[in-house]
Order: sequence, then structure tokens, then C-alpha cells
Amino acid sequence: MPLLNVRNVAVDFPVLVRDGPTRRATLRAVDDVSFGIDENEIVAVVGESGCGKTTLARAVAGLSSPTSGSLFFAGEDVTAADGPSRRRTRRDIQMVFQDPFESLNPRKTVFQTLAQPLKIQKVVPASDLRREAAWLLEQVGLSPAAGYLDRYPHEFSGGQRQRICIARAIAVRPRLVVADEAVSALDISIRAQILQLFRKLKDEFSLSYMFITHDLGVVRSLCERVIVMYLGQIVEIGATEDVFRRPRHPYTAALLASSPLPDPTMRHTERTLLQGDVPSPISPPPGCRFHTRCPMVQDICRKTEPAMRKVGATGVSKCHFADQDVAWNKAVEQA
Amino acid sequence: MTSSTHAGGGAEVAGSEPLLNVVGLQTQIRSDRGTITPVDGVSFHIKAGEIVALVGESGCGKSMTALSTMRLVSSPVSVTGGQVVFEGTDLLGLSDRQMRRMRGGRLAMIFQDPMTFLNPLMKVADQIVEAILLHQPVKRREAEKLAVEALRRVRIPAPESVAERFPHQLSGGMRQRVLIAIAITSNPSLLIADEPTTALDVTVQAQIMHLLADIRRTAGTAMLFITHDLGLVAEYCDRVYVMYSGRVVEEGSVFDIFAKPRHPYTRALLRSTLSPGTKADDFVSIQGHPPAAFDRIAGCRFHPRCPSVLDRCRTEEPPTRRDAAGAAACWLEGAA
Repeated sequence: MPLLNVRNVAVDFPVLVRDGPTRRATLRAVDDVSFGIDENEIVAVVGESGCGKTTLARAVAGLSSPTSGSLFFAGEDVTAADGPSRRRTRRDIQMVFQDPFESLNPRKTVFQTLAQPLKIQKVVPASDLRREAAWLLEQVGLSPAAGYLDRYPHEFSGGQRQRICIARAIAVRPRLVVADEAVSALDISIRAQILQLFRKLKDEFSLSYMFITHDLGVVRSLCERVIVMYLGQIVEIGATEDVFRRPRHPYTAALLASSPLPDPTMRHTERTLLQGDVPSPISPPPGCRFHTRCPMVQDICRKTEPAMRKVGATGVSKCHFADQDVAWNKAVEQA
Repeated sequence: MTSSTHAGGGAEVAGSEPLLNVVGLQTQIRSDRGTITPVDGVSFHIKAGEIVALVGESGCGKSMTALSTMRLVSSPVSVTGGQVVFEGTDLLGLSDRQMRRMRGGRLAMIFQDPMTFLNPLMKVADQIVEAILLHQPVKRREAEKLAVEALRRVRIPAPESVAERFPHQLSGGMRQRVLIAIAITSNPSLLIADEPTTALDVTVQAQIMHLLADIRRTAGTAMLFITHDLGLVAEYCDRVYVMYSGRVVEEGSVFDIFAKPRHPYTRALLRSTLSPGTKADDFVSIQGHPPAAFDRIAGCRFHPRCPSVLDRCRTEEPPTRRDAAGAAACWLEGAA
């Protein structure tokens, strides 16, 4: 049984459309999404802006409610939960956000920031709060902690702030951490440090991660499985190595081909460039949502929505032609 | 040129002046807390038709170098030293009026966030027409035709209709195309691009980078490409300058930099870069963090984070050693 089991989840937002006379419409940001995350597993959710990955993350973390569908955590339906069981889920699933400058209260010291969740969830007795906060800081690489506890967020660099945010997330001993672009705002050298920290904490605290990112480099170097989203839907799920060597959806292949490689001898010579921008999620294209930009588009794609079909040993792909090979870079496939 | 400033490095460019030659550029910011020097003796050159990367992490001075080159800085920031010789003219010696004519003419610039540089109250066509009328001796009617032509050159579909729209009606990628269209209307010989794709999705980034490479190929436009993304450098650039804490620490051809990085910072940067080709455990992080604006570091500025630090690195600043392949400012150069 997976730790997190997401079944047919949809999230709608009411919007006003102003492409003529203003009218009300519904934007389905996440559309019929199903997947699972196992105990101690790192799963990436990738896609471009507007694909619904952050909306999905917020729904999983309990920051917004799905319009339909169910979220099971450790076997329990948390969308229906209330009272004490809801409080327990809040503790089990914690979130780390993209911008460590905006996700820490500037008027609270590091100790106050860490003490709040410890108190609310009664993790340790009040007399131990300071010792516990100091211990947490050391777990995220801020030591000696005594020098940091009484300082304010503005006294820290971006990388240090993200470490504080991570300490706050693990304070209540969660089982799943949802990280929404948690390393995107950081410089290259800091990004690698924080990824190594995530990996270390995964083992020490037996965590699972749902890692929302647009950065395929982060996916390959950290995550075991990857979920690819396009316009609110999942288009491919697979083991990271399988997906990177042999993507089974043309959108995944295009994402890979668009990501530059830091090696001038591996320049993409015959890359498949996607034309145009992502269509509006208010009125997604009929048939396969990717058909307006797909380099392999056929007639059936314009009319019939593809079913999710199994590919390889463990993957799925929402493409009529999932069984066909989609090359993205020979050099990488052979590496 | 340059044999005087780049001892021993004159061979490859013998007989041809570089398009842009920046020597010892220094830019300072005055504040209540003292003066900081975000650009501290930066030298680089760009040959005609070349795409040159200026790469580094936030705060290394790469954007400030680009802005200083364009003389787009104003109080409390000022260019306090060096030379910026473009097509034989020292830009730092020009009057403001002469400099304005240069910008958007032979020398153009595009930025990370196109919305900041487009007028939200003007139609796309009018903004391009304005740029054309400023630099070319044509009538308005003619300029309007050229504006649509410019939109076609940056591969905007249905350029006639896009010309009549306002910036907010366009996507991020389309806005960046409009900015590029404005920049290339006067056929500049050098385009400075400051993180032009950082705000864009990868598939759109690939389109814009492809477009820039195409403009170089068809119009011979040289480019100074400011970025923190080593993937883009590897994929699109010819030569690379690596900056750290206001200085150039290494320069070389893109192939040399990636195959045989000489400065420990370049090496560390490459090893901490993640890409779709990076497998798990295939990366090593750099300890510590880049120095903040007011940090004063004696000796080599990278020494507190350097895995190969020597005693003299803590006290003496390393000279830039140059050979046929490139240059690096490190005490280990020539020591081995």
C-alpha cells in the first residue's frame, strides 16, 4: 500500500474570462490525476508553468481542497477527515516552499519559527523546546546552533533560510515532505548543497518526498520516479532512469530535448523544438491536450483523448503512440 | 589591441580589432555603509559574430558588468575606471547624447523580464516604430512596414495582428521576441543579452535561444550572453568568461572550459551543475556561499570555499596567467 494514494483528483478555480464580454468560467487546474508515493520514495512532479503541479502539491499538503477525487494517506481518506485525524495528517505531511525570503516570518527569530510547530503538535515538552530547536538546526547543517537561534531571517543568506524552512518542516517528524520548487531560487552551488541535505534527511528521518520542479537536472540527480504533467493532466509516469533514457510521451521527450546539457560535445544537433506556447487551461484543446504542439501529431490525436496505457515494466503514458520510440538525444541515451 | 593588455594572447586575434574590448572595468556603488565594488577590474573582448558568455552566480557582478558596458548605470552606481572600446570608440568618453545614439543602434541590449522594458500603454507596433524612427532615416509609413518585418524576423506568427496588440496580451515568450525584434531593427553588431530566458519555461527558452543563434548566423550579430546556466553556455556560446566576486577568474573556449576547467571555482561550478545528464550522486556541492556585497576577502576571493587552497591564497591575490588556450587567476596555475 502506498503511503500517499491520489485517486482521480481534480481542482477547479472560478475565473473571469475577458476575451470579449466578461464571463464566468471554470479553470480545471488539476484534472483527474491519480498516482501513489511509497514509503521512503522520492517522486518528482515536472511540467511547465500552468501545468497544475503547484495546485496538486497544495492539495496533497492540505492547503486547498480537491473539487473531486480522494487523497489517501497511510490508507486513510484525508479529504474526508476532520478534527483529530486532520491534525494528525497535517503533522504527517509538511511543505517546503520555493522562496525562502517569503516563507519565513521576518518578525520571528529562528527559535520562534521552529518552536511554533513543536508546540502546536506537542512534539516535546515546553522545557525542551530550545534544545529541540537547536538539534533541528544541526540536522540541517546550521551549527553551532546556539549562534543561530536568536537571529532573524534577514540575517541569513538564501541557502541558510531554505535550511531553516526545512528544519521547520521536519520539526513535527512528518512522513511526507512536499517540496514546491524548493531549490529553484538558489544559486547553482547552493542548490547542490540543499539537494544533498534533502537526501541525507530522507535517510535519517525516513521521509518520502513529493518534489515539484521544472528542472530536469534536479529530477535526475535526486528523484526515483517522475510524474510529467501537461495542462492539468498527468501525461507520463515512470522510473527516472527509464524516462530519461526512453521517454514514452512526446511531451516528455520535448522537455528533455529543450533542457540544455552542460557539455558542448553533447549539443542537441537535431532537436525537436516545440512550437508555440502552452494553450490556455480555461479551454484546453480537444482530443490529446498536447496535440497542438506535438511534433508527432496524427488525426486521432485531434479527436480522441488518449487513455493512460502501461509502458515498460512500471511506467504509464497518455499517448496514442506510447509504444513508439521518441528520440531526444542519442548522446545521453548512450551515456 | 590587446597584446598590451593580454600579454601573449594576441596571436588568435592578430591583425583584427575585436568588436568590443573592455579593459579593467571598475564599477562602484556608494552607500551609507561605505563603497562597494561589484565590478572590480574586469577585462574581456568579443570578436565580430562571436557569442561570448559571462557566467557566474548571483552577486558576482555579471549583470553590473553588462550594464556598465552599456553605460546604463546611474547614481549611486558609477563606472569608476577602465575602458569600453566598441568599434574603435571608447564608450566611457562619449557624451550622454552620443551614448544614447549608440544604444539601440550598433549596440543593443535585451533583459530578463521583457515586461519591465515594454511600455504597457503602447501597442507593440508603435514601440518598434519608435525604435526605428530613432535610429533610421525613414518615414513613419515605412517604419510601420519595417516593424511588421521585424516581428516576422523573430518568427512571431501572424505578425500583422500581434503588432496591434498590447504587451499584456502576449505570453512571456512572445514579449521576449518583441524585445528582440526592437533590439535588432537597426542591425546591431553587438547584442548584450542579460539572462534573456531565465523567466521562461524550458520549451520556450529553447525557442528563444534558437532564435538568437539564428540571428547570429544570418546577420552576423555578436552577442554577450549573461547567464548562470552552464547548460545554455555549453549549448550556444563560443567563448566563456567565469566571474566570481567582481572579477573574471577564468576565460577560455567553451570546449576548453568544460573539458579542462583550470580555476577551482569553474571546476566546482561544473561539478555542482545538475542537468538531465546528471545521474544520482554525480554531483558535488561547493561549501559555503558566495561572498556578500560588503565582505572583504583578502587574497584570492574564492579561497574560503576552495578545496585546493594554499597558504598564499589567503593573503596574496593571484595574477591572471594567460596562454594560447585561455586564462585563469589562480595560484595553482603554473605551480604544478
